[in-house]
Amino acid sequence: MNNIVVGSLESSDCLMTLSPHESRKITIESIVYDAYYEAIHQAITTLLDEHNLHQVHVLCQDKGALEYTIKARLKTAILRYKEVRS
Amino acid sequence: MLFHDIVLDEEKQQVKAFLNKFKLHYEEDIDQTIVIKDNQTLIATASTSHNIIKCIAIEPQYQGQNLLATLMTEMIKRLAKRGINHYFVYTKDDQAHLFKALGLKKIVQTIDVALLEGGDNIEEKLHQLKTDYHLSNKPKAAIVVNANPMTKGHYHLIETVASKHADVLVFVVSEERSVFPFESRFKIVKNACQSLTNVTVLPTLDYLVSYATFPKYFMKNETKIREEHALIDVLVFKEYYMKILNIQDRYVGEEPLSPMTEMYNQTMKKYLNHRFHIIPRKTLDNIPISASTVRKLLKKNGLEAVKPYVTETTYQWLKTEEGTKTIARIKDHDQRH
Repeated sequence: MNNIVVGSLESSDCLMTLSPHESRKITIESIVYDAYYEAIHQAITTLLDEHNLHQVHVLCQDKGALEYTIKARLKTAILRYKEVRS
Repeated sequence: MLFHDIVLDEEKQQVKAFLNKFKLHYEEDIDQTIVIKDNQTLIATASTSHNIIKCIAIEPQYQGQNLLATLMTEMIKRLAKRGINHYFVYTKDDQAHLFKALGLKKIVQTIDVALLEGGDNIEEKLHQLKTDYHLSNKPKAAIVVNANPMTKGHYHLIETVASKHADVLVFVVSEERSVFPFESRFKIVKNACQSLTNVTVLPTLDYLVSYATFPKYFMKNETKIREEHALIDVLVFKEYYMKILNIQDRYVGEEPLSPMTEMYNQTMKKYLNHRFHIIPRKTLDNIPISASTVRKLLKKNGLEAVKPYVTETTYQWLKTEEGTKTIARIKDHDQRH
């Protein structure tokens, strides 16, 4: 199965890549890593929990997106991911 | 943002002319090209060749609008649709920061070229490889072979190294640029080495690449390009493979037949010093055995002619259905590999 890629690398956005993985794995690359890593990680974990998604690798390439942008991108990615896998 | 796919020859000419303004050349191995236009004028372009994003240029008066992010996002999404999630960019060192800002990571750099990757991470991949193949932390010796196809020469090289070192890694080039598919090359080498208990056969991953994939478009002359390619390859091997897998010695077979590979070996010698060893090539009736000779023989005289040169595992594989198809392909084509 191909990976799901959502979002962009434009400023104030993020590129979210979802691929199958034996356990949950979250990779965050961010220009505001030092200040917001925890917050981004928390936002991703919460959303994955809500959608009951555990065997997935989330790669978040963040260009300074606001929290609701990150959530929106991830939610779209999750829904698409589930769609192609069902 | 509207992207135009470049398909027609006429359009390609436009892209070529556009790239020429930046002293870049449109490379032959490109498999897709996109452009961005402002009205009818071409203002930006990017291409891919398998997992390499290349030939990227943006009209100066449109620079500073972050069109690079737009191009890269589009290319990353297109590659993902093809199942490619790990991509590379070669660039001049003074431009590397632009790609780093987009989340790519620098693997190595020389004075002229920087190699960056995205979507994956070399250190993580090699640690994974170490776990997958249950490699110890003990010092090891390593050989890299393409084995296209495996010959008695390859076996001689592996056997010689295995008699000198307690732990030997044999890397088979993962890249699919050879007539013999990776899966078969790997299986043949693995089966041939079964009796050598201190030898582990493993893939090179995407990092050690052939000259064919190395971008040539921003360097001037052929010799320089060859040198840079060898240097990048050697640096990747030294900085990551040797460190992470604790490889202490690198062995290669002597190259009496190919001046290019000989040059490559010289570069390696320069950077690895006493850790680099050349093993004389095995000969048959005073003729050095090489995979290219085997391919030539297969083309001209067919399967039985190569029997004295190849390992039993290769010979048996050549007799399979897939092997027969591969021989037919060699006979059809005039390509070097």
